[in-house]
Amino acid sequence: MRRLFWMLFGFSIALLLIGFYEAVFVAPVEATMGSIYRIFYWHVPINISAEIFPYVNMLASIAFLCVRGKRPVLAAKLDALAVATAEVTVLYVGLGLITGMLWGRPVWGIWWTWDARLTSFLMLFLLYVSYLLVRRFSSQQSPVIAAVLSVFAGIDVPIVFMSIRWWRTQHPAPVLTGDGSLDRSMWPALLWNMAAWFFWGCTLIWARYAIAVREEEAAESAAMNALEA
Amino acid sequence: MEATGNTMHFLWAAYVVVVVANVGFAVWLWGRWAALEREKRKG
Repeated sequence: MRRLFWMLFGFSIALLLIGFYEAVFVAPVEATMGSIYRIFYWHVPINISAEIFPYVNMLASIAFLCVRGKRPVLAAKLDALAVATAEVTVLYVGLGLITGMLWGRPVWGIWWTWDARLTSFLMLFLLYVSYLLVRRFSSQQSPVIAAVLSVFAGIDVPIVFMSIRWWRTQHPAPVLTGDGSLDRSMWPALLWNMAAWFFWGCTLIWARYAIAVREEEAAESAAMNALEA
Repeated sequence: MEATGNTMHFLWAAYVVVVVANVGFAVWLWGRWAALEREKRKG
């Protein structure tokens, strides 16, 4: 398993390097925005992954709630997966917000606006920060409370996704679908970066999952030692 | 010649933020794993 992890790590790094090269040196300059638009190649792929990982978190949490009474070993693993995806989601959503602000300032002239996309995405960030805070500071029941919270956080994801379709927003309408919003020459860099950020996120989740499982084992072993003493 | 706003520093700022955050997170994970390994060897 360890070898497979390092293979995924190397694969992700290779994809990130190709993605960087494609975005900076190969992708053309955008007609209106110039080169500043290249933030797009980080902002969009990171945000797409930031809308996938919450579903893994939600599914792991629902499964955890279902099996926690009957299969404690499986429940512990699902809980570890939920923690891992929540932390990477916070990282990705946070980066999505920051890169969006750094793009918005020169292009829109403002750092932030309370439109539906930005606000719902900020809500997603805050929900996952609360998830982590509940886990950090709550009592023994914190995995259960956090799992319930993650279901509500998961509901925000389709709202984020649909916000630019349902409401008129400062944020641009979808550029990846529709009538040729994205020039064909811009697609390779985008696809490389989408793959790169997705696999890098999976690498981080795997590493964090392994740590959570190891911590759980260490806590169990410490409890057993305390009982024996 | 007419001056216009230089926006490129926003692009570089985005690169730096993304790299620092990800490398920082990876190093933090590595530190936690190394601490667990140390504890395991001790106990």
